[in-house]
Amino acid sequence: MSREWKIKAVLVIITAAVMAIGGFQLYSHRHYMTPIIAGPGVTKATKLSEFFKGLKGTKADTNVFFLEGKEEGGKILIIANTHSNEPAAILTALVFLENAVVDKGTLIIIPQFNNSGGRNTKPGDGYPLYFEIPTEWGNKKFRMGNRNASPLDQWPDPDVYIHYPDRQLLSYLDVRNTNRTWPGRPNGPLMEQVTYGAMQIMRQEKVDIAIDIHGAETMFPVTNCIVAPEKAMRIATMTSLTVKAREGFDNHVEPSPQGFRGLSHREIGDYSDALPFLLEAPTPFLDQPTGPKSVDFLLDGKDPFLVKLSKKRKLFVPYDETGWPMDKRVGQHCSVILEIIRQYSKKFPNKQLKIRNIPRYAEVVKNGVGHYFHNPNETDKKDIYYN
Amino acid sequence: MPVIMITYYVICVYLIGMLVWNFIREKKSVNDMILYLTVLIPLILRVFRIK
Amino acid sequence: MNIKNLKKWLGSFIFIGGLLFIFFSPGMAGTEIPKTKLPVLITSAGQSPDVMTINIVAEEAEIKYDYCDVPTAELLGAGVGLADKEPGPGFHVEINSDLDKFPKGTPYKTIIFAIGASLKGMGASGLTVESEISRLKELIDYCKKNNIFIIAAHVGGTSKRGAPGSDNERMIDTVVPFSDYIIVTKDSDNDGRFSKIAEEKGIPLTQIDYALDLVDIFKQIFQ
Ligand SMILES: [Zn+2]
Repeated sequence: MSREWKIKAVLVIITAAVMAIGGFQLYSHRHYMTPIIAGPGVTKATKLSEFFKGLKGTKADTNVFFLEGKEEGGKILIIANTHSNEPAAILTALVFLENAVVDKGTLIIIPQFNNSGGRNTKPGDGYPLYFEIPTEWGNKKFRMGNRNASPLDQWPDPDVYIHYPDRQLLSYLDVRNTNRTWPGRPNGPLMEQVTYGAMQIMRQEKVDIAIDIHGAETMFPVTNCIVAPEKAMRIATMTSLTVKAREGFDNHVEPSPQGFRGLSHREIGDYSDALPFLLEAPTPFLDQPTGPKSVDFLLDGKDPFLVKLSKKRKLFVPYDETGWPMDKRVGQHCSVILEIIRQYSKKFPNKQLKIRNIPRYAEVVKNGVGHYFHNPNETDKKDIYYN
Repeated sequence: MPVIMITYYVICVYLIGMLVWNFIREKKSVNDMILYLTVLIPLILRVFRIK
Repeated sequence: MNIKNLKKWLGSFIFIGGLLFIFFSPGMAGTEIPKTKLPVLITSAGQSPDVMTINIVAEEAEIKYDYCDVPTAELLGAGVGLADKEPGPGFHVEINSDLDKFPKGTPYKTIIFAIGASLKGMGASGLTVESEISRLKELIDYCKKNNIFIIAAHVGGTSKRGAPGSDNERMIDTVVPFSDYIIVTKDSDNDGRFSKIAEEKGIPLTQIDYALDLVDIFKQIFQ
């Protein structure tokens, strides 16, 4: 064999190896399943395709859990991992799923709303593929996903995303972003079908409160807040004032802009009777000028560059060497959801919700979120679902 | 499968052919050989439809 | 000093500090909360969204209030119902007063100013800092002449404060020294500015820990 062909053979082998190893990692990430446990309150486990048939058999189909109380009352829908790179959302949803006992009303939980996005990654930002939450029985492993659905599941992207039905022009990427494709339609792109499925739940079940859990950059003004449209403003404001006074953490209220379409806090309210709330917890991992996007950084939110920016008053939340740990973010979400439920029940006594066994902010910060996850090896197989 | 997808796969196969052909024809520049192979990766993955 | 001593020392320090706080706190324990009467108009001084907080808190306290973000002295003089003015862009009106007790045209007995400057808010109502201040001066003049009880409320915290002469401070200068009662959150009065005005002018002041405490205050004022 000539020298030229020897070189070529070596190069082909190296390329094939890179493809095989890298491809295998991405393939196993995409197909990795996290066991999630249906707690004592779960009365029905179903799929989003139950509410919109078009999703059946696609990677966009996802678990939907019902926790129905003995007494009738209000109905609340909790949507998590709309953006899978904001994982305080799924952790909060699982705290509710694994622990909540509903005495009155109905709690509906979608832990992994954008299922395709949860199986996608962001190699350009050097995202880790997984992260682990320490618990009393070992580590619980989760996939780290991306903001948008995978192009493997929805393709091709348009040059510009024309929002349905308002025809507002949005970035091409937002056609795969389940917080821009609300309220969706049955024959639209896959992610519009996902939001349409959720709208169907809200319309069929007559949901009263819809909560969409997120996280946002510390350099972005809409962070550490509750975003709510006019009709949910009163409950959002009372929630914000109450958690500040009773639990000592800030969570201001941001009005949902009328002119910005496709977002859950806008379209859910406009296209159903539900009161929407979008919760943002500060997520330093999402900021751009930071060190490496490591798992530790994702969990403790500590970054020296952000500390410097904070000293220059460039951040929208207080920030120091203690970072913004995951437990704090999940704790805030738990407390804010419980408080929204309490305020709603006060305002609408005939549609009360009573939910027990969910920790509040201080408890989650003290015990760590892992404390509220149960060991799948010690759980009845019928209560384990794969996400 | 919509027409646009079929067209896309045809384009992919065509580009793969061109890149392989160029790779074989390249005699000297190792740099160019590496570039041809690198550009091949996503096209091959797409045509194999590994998800 | 070793750690144990430090702890002891810190402990007694906190204890004494606590005692001092209890005895000398200008907060809820300190001032008698004045009483006033309905009907009440809630409005803004500076057009920041804090007025929404005040509205919602008043609703929570079950106070039946009227609301207008940018009333003139003339509109205030029209009394309950605000002369049936239609709301429009940059001009908000809400009439919640009990019209059986206070028919349209009943003069207001109380006005609440939510203080906080927002250029965005003023811009939306076609106001500048100057025109907002002259509007407020006219309103306050009218209140003084017609015995309308003025409550100045500042609940926006440090974000609604600023250097002397800044927009926020000018709103405070325009309203607070002429008010009959000041309600301020602790973080809004970090530098003691409100307490100082209250002392100099002999205006009762209530310092609250959190904006939520306004619910109780409102219930007591309008008892
Ligand atoms: Zn998000």
